[in-house]
Formats: sequence, structure tokens, C-alpha cells
Amino acid sequence: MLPITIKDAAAALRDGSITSTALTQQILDKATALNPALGAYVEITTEAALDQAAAADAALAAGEDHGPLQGIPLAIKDIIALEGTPTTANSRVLAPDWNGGVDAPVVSRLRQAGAVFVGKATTSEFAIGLPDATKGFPVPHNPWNVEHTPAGSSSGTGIAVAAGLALGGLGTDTGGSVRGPAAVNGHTGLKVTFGRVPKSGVVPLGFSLDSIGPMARSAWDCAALLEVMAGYDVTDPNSAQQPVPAYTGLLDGSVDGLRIALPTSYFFDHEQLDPEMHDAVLSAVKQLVGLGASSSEVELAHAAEAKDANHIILVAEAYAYHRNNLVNRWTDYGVHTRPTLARGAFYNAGDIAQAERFRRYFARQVAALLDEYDVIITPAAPTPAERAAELTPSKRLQVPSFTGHWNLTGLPAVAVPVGFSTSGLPLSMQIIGKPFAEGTVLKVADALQRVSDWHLAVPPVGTLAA
Amino acid sequence: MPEPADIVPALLTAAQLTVSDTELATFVRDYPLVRQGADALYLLDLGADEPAIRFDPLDFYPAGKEA
Repeated sequence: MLPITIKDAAAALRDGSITSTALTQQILDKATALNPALGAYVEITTEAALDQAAAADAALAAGEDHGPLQGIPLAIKDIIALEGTPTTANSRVLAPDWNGGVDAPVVSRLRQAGAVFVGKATTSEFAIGLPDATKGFPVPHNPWNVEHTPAGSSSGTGIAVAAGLALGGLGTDTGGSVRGPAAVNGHTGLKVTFGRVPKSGVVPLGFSLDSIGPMARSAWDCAALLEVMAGYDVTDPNSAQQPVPAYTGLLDGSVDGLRIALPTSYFFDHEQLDPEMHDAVLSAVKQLVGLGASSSEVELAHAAEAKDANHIILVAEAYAYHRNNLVNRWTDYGVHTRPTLARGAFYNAGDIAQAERFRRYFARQVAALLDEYDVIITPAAPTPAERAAELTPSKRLQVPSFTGHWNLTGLPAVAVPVGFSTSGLPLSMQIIGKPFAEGTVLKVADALQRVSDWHLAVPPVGTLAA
Repeated sequence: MPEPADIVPALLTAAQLTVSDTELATFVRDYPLVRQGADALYLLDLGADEPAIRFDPLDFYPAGKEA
């Protein structure tokens, strides 16, 4: 039986019970067999992956240990540049030689740590659209129920981690694109502090909101990935010059004395919040309280408006990037991508400035809350995975979202599985912390995962194999 | 007060975007929601808050920043 976490695989590679070549080959076989049904990968890079795996095995055999990612198969979202493969952003618009075939800095760091790249994982077009089957890219499906959405935009990485087509990977998050797929596919996903991980070499969506985050089964695995991914890089003007802690070393299982804020309005009392999601999150909070934390219901004013502010800034920045192609190549964009991007034409200059003024106001409210509390906890999503056929860009305007708030404020936020709905779909909780407190939110997630096993549940995908 | 059916085609024309009739109908239907989201941000609570954007000319002159 294959190890399903990075932590277990790293141990198995070192005790000799498996080689990276064997692990990678089995994951490649599974990915190849399941990709037609799940649409996790745009391209599976078999040859390069096996070369990397062989190199990782040889290095380990020679006593060269580069840390827990050495020999670990990972999925790379296809808006992140990976040497030797085109970056498509799942779009007919982007030139396939985008970034000149050079690794993004974050990929280069993983490569140096000895990671193995299974392939380029499916993304929503330009990290914003919904799938358009007519454009020739894989349509991603939720491994728990293929009629339901795997969410976006880091759909492929989310599916790959859940279905065992990689042990971890990279997503990007501008309004929830790491946490959404992690939530509905049933694993862990971390949106990092803005600037924590350099985002050069990544096709931009919202310049002031974008972040690259680790996705994996457990908080420990995300911590191991982040240790390698994080840190300053001169090529990203927003890269933060902050020290990078040894995140895995911070996960000691203790939440004793941790102060949890539960913002009731909007996040817990919204009429569209699924009752099972509501109850599962509060049940998990109760578990944390049982471990020594305390929780209080709090007020966070204007949370509904914060969702709109994030959306306005996101589409304004995205529109600036895409404007010329929208004018000249409208129908080359997917049928669901172009109307979302075009919303940028419907906001005026004052709206953008006002959204930025609101951003400062809301960030101050959140900072005041995090002066009194260590973390904020909310549901990661209002509902379990929706039926894919019911999704439209218009619907996105009408439904609540609990993730964009933390892009607006630039804070770290991790999505953690907390159960399953009666329909068999994953439920998820979100833990938000102060700037650069990734260690804190991962520590809380890890503490929960030491007393629960929701993150280890594997979807029944065997019958889907081609 | 102009209606979405008048505003939306004008905005799309100004933006040089050529859309299908179906897309236009969707844009017109959604426009009130789009505006509602933007209008909701004109809050009195914001007071004198400045936009959360920063431009530091010294970013482009690292040596000068060190000095």
C-alpha cells in the first residue's frame, strides 16, 4: 500500500521500504489511468518525473538528504512555470512558451529540494473561469462525486492530492483558489500571507491578492512544503523579506491557551450556510476547546462588503492584464471566463479607489480582532461541493464566500477537513492568523488532525480507472 | 435614471468589447448586482481611510534607500 502523506512517504524512503522510483511509477500509473475521468492533469510528465525520482533515489543512497520533499511526487498548477513543459493557464489565449520554459522561483526551490513533478495540474482558465469543454483542456471532476465540482481555480492539484495522483502540490489563491479545492476535495490547503512565497513565474490574476500555497493531505505536509517554498526573491516586487521558520518544528500538537474568535455575522449566520457545514465546524472548534483552547463569538463588521471589495479589486487587476486580449480575442477565452473578466469594464475609477479604501478599513477591523485573539475560525465554504452543472459566473455574484476576505487583508488561512455531509461530500473549516503566522494556523490544524482523521479519507475512485 | 439595458451596451462599447446577444443579456441581467456590490462600499465608516495602495519611489533606487 502506498503512503498517502508526504510525512509517511519521506519516512518510507529513508527506511528503505520504498524507493522514489517505485512510488513515482505507481502514482504516474494511477494518474494516467484516472485522468480521463477526473481531469486532474493537463500534462503528465512521465519521463521527467522518473528521471527526478531516480536522481532522488541515487542521492539518498549516497547519503545526500535534502529534506522531506526529496523523492516526493508533486502536482504543479498549470499557471506556474515548470521547465520543460508549456504553461497554458488552461487557455487558448496564453502563448505556450510563456516564461520561456524557465522554472518559477517556487518551482526551482522544490526542484532543489529533490521533489518530483508528476505534471501540470488543471486550473480554471487564468485561475478565474469555470471549465469550458469546447476549448480542448481537461474538465476537472470531484473525486468524491464526479457530478460535483472540484472547485477552482487550483482544481487539478486539489483532485490529485485527494485521489492520490500526487502527494502534494502547488495551488494559487487570489480569492480562495487553494482553500476552495482543498475544502471540497477533502484535504488541507494553505493560503499564505501576501509576499510569503515569491509569485514571479506565475501567470497573474490579481496582482495585489495573488499567493502561491501548498496543498497536501495534512497540515504537517503543508508545513514541509512551505519551508521550501517561502522566502524572499528579488524577482517579485511584493516578496517579503521575512525569516522563514522551520514550520514542521512548530507543530507540537498543543493549542493550550489558544484564543479563537468566531465571527458570527455572515460567516456563521448566513442563510445560505449549509447546516451540516455549520455544525461540523463548531464540532471541530469544540474539539480544539477540549484540547485547551478557548473560543468566543465576535462581531466583524461589513464582512459581506469585504467579499465584494475583494472581487472588485480582483477583476479590476485581472481586467488590466487581459484587456487587450479581451478586445481582440474575445471568443478564444472560455465561455465562463470572459464574462467574469469583462466585469472589470463595469466598475469605474472611483469604485476601485473605494474598494482600496475599504480594504484598509477592513484590514484594521481584522487586526483589532487579532490583537485580542490568536486565530479566527470560519467555515471554509458555505456548502459542500456544488453540482458542476449548476455553476455559472452569475451565480458566483449571488452566493456568499468566506475566503476572499483573507486575500483582501493579506493574511494566512488554512482549510482543514472537518467531516462529511450526509451526501458523502467533504466539509471544511478555515483557520486565519496574523501576518506571517503560518506556523500558528498550521499548528492549530495539526492539533486537530492529531485527534481526527478526516484528512486521511480517500475517495472511492477505483471504478473510474480507464 | 438610465436602465441596465442602456448602460451595459455603452460600457461594453467604451471598452471595445464585442459580445454575443446571449452574453449581452446576461450582462444586463447581472448589472444591478455588480453595481450593488460596488455601491455598498461607499460606507460612512471609512472616514478618512486612504486607499490601501502604496507607491514608494525609493523602491526603484535601492542605493538611495540604503542611504
